Amino acid sequence: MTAIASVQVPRHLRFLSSPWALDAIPAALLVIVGAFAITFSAGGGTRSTHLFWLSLVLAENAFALLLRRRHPVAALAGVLATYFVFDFPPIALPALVVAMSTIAASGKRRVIGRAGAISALVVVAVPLLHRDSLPLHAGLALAALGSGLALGWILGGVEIVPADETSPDLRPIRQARRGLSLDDMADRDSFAPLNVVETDGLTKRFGDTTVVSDVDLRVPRGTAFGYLGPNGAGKTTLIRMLLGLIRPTGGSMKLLGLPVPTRRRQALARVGAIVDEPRFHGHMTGRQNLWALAAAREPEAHARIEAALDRVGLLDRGDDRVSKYSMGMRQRLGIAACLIADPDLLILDEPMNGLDPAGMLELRELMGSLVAEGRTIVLSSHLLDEVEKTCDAIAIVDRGNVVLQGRIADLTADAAAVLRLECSTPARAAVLLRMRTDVESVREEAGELLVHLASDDLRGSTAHIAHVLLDAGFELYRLQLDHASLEQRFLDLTTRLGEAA
Amino acid sequence: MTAIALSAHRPIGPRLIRAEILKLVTRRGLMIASLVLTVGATWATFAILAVLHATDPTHHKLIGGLSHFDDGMYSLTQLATVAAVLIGATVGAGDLAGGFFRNLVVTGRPRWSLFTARIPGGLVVLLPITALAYATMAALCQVVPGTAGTPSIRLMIESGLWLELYVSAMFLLALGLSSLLGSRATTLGILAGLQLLVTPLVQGLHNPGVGAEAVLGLALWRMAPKEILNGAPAGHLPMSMAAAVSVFVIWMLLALGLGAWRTITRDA
Repeated sequence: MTAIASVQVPRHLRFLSSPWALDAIPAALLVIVGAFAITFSAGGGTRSTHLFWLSLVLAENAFALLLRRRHPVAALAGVLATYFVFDFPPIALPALVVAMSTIAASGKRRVIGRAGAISALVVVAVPLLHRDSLPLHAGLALAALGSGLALGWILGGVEIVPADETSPDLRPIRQARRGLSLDDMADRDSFAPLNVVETDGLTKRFGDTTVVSDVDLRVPRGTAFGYLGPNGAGKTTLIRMLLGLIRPTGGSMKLLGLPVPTRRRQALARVGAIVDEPRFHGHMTGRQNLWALAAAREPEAHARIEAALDRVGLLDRGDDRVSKYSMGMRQRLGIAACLIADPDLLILDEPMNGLDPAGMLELRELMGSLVAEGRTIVLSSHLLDEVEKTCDAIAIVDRGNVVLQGRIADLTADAAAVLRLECSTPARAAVLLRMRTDVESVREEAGELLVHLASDDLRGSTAHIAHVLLDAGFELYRLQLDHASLEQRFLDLTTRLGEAA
Repeated sequence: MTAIALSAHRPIGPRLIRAEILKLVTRRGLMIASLVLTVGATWATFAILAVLHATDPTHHKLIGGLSHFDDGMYSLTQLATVAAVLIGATVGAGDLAGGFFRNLVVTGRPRWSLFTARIPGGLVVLLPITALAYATMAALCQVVPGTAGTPSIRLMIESGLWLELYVSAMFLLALGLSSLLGSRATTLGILAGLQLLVTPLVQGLHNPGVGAEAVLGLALWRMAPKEILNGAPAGHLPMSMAAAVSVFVIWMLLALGLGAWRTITRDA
């Protein structure tokens, strides 16, 4: 069951959720309420007896609801006893509401189903047996059942969280980082290491299709992180899981150090995100759309609207209807929607889609400035060139699997370098070069030789190859050392995986 | 902190409700349609009846007073219901249709509070429109003479409250259903069928049977002041008030419960 709210319990009251308290406190409640009721019903009146049962069940279940540990069948038994023994539906109905809510809060479908079926039979059968007004009693009972289940289902999502486990305050760190250069920020040793996104074994299946498979992802704070993969690789699905838009099939994840979905609300308070294309109400202005989004965030979010519009260059167009916006303007409004959260983490899914080259440049500069402020950006894209220009770390995903992740510089550094060479009689030159130990392979392509080097000293090898060829009488027309680009690395990986499949 | 606090489960903030109102009132077409269906239709009805009475007084009775009040209430109820369903379906499915729901979910705000904010947000828009239309009709019935005197203050207050109850119920039904289905058009189709086909059909049956008591529209008519029941084509079913209240409560719980459930569990 998805947690839809958290109940903060101060440290000194944590004992309430301990196993012994779960047994002892309801028992104590029973004794207290029972003693009170017995005293109250000394005259033997029916009303006071009913009151006793009602108080008993209500108190017991209210406490059980709070702690989410009460055994649901026991709760139901109390209500059924009330029904059978006293045959007084009006009193039993509120009790039925709380009992059913306890059962629903357990989140166990089988228990809910059995309890619901038994209760339905009882609440219909008892009035029938006693020839009471069937529609009234059945209607009220069903209403009680329904509202109880709804209440329980809602309360079942309440997570009890110790009060001192609040969201980590990243502000001082961000403030400290503001004004630092990217090189300064790369020195992570000066700050406590913290990954803003962490996933372990994250998996999502739709039927028999595994869209995201066992993904372990680490996104370091203060970086622009590219989540790179071909179309259909599962990029958006992973983002949707991180944001709680869909539920994972397996695995765990953390955003800003907080487990999701249990602490989703606290985590997302400092996250801005665009998933797929940014979509807004077309009949409202850009400013109104941001206002409606800010209403779902903390009150301070409203004060950030103007600054956000200004930053993305939409201040003058803020009062235009979004239906009149171009795709690029919508993308920028999407970024503005992220900024009103004053986010520590921005998750942008294919933000370059639909942008012209000037728009891409603007967005790249904007992202750079956001990272310079100490924010982290996770950029999902299939545009290798853009990721290489924008990001300093990446994860390459293919068919739901993360096949590689790390800093771009590191990933491309260990890739084989290629020496492009044009000379006379290339076929003969290729035979000569293949005999060298610092050459991995030689391939002739369109009249030039592509020499894959396997050497730590690439420049030294290049110079030595030039000498060897000249000494052997070859005429050398061109010599160019290319380092493997991210694109080559990406294609190598995805092609290899494709062939293996 | 010395007590258990529901700090993360904040009550519905008025800002979220104001956002729902903003989303509605900026839909010009919806607002115009709602006003035309309620206030506009009231004026139009009076205007047509006035012309008819002026041209042929023998066949067309005087347009105001108590004699018109019950007919007017029936017409207004039907038309205001359409407005309520329009608004309810828009509030329930508007964010989904526009793709805006996803933006709201990623704020981290519990989906439960996103759903519950729709209820007051829609009612704040719907109820004043209905009240304006009703006030117009009631004022005209007071000012313009009829054949059977004017409606009493008590009747006008009771009728006004009942009308608001009726449209609120239809709004909540549309809200719940559209939140469940995620489609405004489907919701409008289903509820139009329920309101325009099923309810009048059951209402017109000579012996409708026990099952007819489950029809929400009929249960609501059972709660109406008896002076206005002449306006309803087939009066009302002889069900007890308790049964009518039960039917009303069950429909509301069912619609809102299912709508909330789907809002919380839906893939955004």
